[in-house]
Amino acid sequence: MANPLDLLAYSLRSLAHRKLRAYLTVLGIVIGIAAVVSLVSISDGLYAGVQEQLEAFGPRNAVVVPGDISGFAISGGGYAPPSAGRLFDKDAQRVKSIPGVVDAAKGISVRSLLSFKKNNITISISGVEAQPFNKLMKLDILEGRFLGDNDRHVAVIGADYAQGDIFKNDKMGVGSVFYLGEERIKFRVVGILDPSNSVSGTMIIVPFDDAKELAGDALLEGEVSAIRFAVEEGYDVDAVLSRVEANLAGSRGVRLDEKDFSLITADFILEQVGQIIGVLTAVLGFIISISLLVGGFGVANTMFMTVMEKTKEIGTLKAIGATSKDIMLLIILESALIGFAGGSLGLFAGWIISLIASVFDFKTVITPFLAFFAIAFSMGIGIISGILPAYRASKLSPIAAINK
Amino acid sequence: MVPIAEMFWYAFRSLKHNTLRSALTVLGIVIGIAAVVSLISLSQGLSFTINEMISAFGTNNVMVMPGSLESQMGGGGAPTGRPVSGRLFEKDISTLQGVAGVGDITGYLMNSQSVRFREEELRVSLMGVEPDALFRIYKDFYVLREGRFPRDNDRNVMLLGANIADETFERKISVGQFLYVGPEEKKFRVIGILEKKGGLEGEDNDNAIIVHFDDLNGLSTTTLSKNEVNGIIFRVKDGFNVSQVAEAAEIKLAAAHHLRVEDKDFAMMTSESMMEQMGAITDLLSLFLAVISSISLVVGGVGVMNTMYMAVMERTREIGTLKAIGASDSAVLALFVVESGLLGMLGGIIGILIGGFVALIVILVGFDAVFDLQLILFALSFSFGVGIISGFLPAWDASKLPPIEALRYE
Repeated sequence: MANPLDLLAYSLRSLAHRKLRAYLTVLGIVIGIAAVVSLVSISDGLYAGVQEQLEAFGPRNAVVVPGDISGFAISGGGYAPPSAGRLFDKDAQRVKSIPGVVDAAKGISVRSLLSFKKNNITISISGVEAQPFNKLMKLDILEGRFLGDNDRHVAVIGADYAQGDIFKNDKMGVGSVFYLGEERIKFRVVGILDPSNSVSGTMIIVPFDDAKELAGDALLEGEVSAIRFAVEEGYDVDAVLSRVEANLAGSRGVRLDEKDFSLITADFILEQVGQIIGVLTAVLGFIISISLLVGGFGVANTMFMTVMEKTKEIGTLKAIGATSKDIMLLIILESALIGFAGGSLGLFAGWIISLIASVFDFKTVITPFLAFFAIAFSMGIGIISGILPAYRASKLSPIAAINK
Repeated sequence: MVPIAEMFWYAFRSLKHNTLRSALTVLGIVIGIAAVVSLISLSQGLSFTINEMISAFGTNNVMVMPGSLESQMGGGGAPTGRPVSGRLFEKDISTLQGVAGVGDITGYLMNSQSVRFREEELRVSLMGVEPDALFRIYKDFYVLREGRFPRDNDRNVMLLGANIADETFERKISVGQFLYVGPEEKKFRVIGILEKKGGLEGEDNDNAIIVHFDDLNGLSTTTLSKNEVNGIIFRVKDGFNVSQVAEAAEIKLAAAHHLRVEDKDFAMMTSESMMEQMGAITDLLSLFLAVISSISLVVGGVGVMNTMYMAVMERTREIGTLKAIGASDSAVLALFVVESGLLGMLGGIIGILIGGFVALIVILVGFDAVFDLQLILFALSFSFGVGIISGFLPAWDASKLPPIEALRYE
């Protein structure tokens, strides 16, 4: 007879080992689910961040630009993709006259030489109609003021010129003087944009007529680079937008599907960005899911072992009247439980990882759908991995099983 | 000490003892290694493709651009929105010509113009160059489909990329036809059309519209100052070292701009430096994908550990016997670590085969994939490593079993 203490130690060890096996199997699922949850939470956060930024663009705002840009053409080399179409003053008038359109503002963007003190840089300049533009964009001013309708040869500059190192050690401030274009037209800074604005920190905004002067022959008589407008409260945004689209296309005598201009809205950009984020998440999610597959094999392995060890028990159950179906259910339930435990713990671990990620300035979101999906998915893995072992268990002949 | 071969034999037999369990455990490693191998071979294939693309421009050629490389990313001359400090002028070309080893050289202009063909008017990018120099520099890059290359004394002629000739305008353009450029409708005759290259590497070739430098300079452009150029391209003479010449050119040009080399307001790109830049990006991508796919190997490793714990438990008595007949702790440790390493390596071998198969499919589909001995050795040792690490704890447990108690274990 063995020493009772030794027996105790051995049974504890065996129990510990069995427990250990369950822990390790669950761990396999935890790792995969945690990775999926943290990935999706980061990508959802990215999407929410873009959405937030676009809110500043204004859900009722739209911009008309020349050329058909649906589906963002990406050009590899130095050659910009060919584009058709131009916009003119008369198009702006047309847009303005459509019911529901308010604050229509013409814009010009022109690339120009900028000289400030001893620095020369080349930069894109935005010429805008001050009052409607300001109403549309509601830009926050850090210092100074925005452009007024009667201003000439003044500029509002992005915060990077006042704070960054664009000019090495020189910094612009309100009252600074700089020169634009080859003719060195003198401009005075009247305002600096707050960095919290959703526009680029390297933006330079000047009155429309000044930009026109800078553009010179690069634009035709009466040509503009963009027309911004808002849809008035009380009007349906989509209805007004399609009216603008139809009206512009009609005035050019082109069908809508061959239009040579594009209407950009926050929704349009969100859709494009959403597609890119979606593809990225799908690819990474697929790669990560491979680990869930491996985890599933681990569950199957554990369940086969369990069935083997419980052969006698299963035989007894059958002998006292349990049907094959009962046995199968029993094993699948155990396997689903492993999946459930893995999913819940994985969700928790993923949540911790996303918290850590948010410390590093990643925006993360764990939606109820993601939480539900993680647990349901891991339970599904548990069930699927348990089917074969359960089937094997259910087919055991009771006599042989007990005799084993 | 037990001979290594005998140890392997012992481990192999015990793996066979529970075939189903071993198979499922190995399968976990197989999947992980297959994922790692195929992703690495894919991303290395990508970097191979990129290097091919870069060398297609000629390994002896150097490109000079204003500003820093960062501010120019996204296209040479196409507005990126980022401020570009620094400009290049025609006199910089003469400065560079004075550097030993600099051969053919041309400045280039690149801007977007409205171009009319018959009734259709589009905005397209034009490149203005000194034709003789350009086509000597890029003699291996540009291939004619019809017509001829423009020459230095040609005026108002155009060379078109295949896309521009065939697709951009509603009607096809052929050699001898006329296009009208800019608001003044300056008339250009098409004298050559390039062979289509296709793909991303053909972008610069297929969408090209090349005209004489002076012709494009004569058109109204406001973004450039007088005598300013968008960039300069030169070829390093045979017999000179490209990076050495580029370095000398950098020093000379910076001095001409009265700047120290560290503060230079231009970027000099050789195919070597571009490959380095792109290589850094693809390496990062490769590493990122490898790390993410390694998550499945971690899970596979956990599976190995699980199996090894089971094996140790089942063989408690056997371990007791081994120890009773004189096996040392370290021999038992080695025995189980080898067994676990074998599990990993077995998974690795099958995983490599599957990964190689995936790479083969990728190649058949038409992409590049690299599947070399280095990758195979890496995957093999990696899988063996995963096995050893996962097996260490169970093996340690086994080696520490007291022999008497182990023998009594039921």
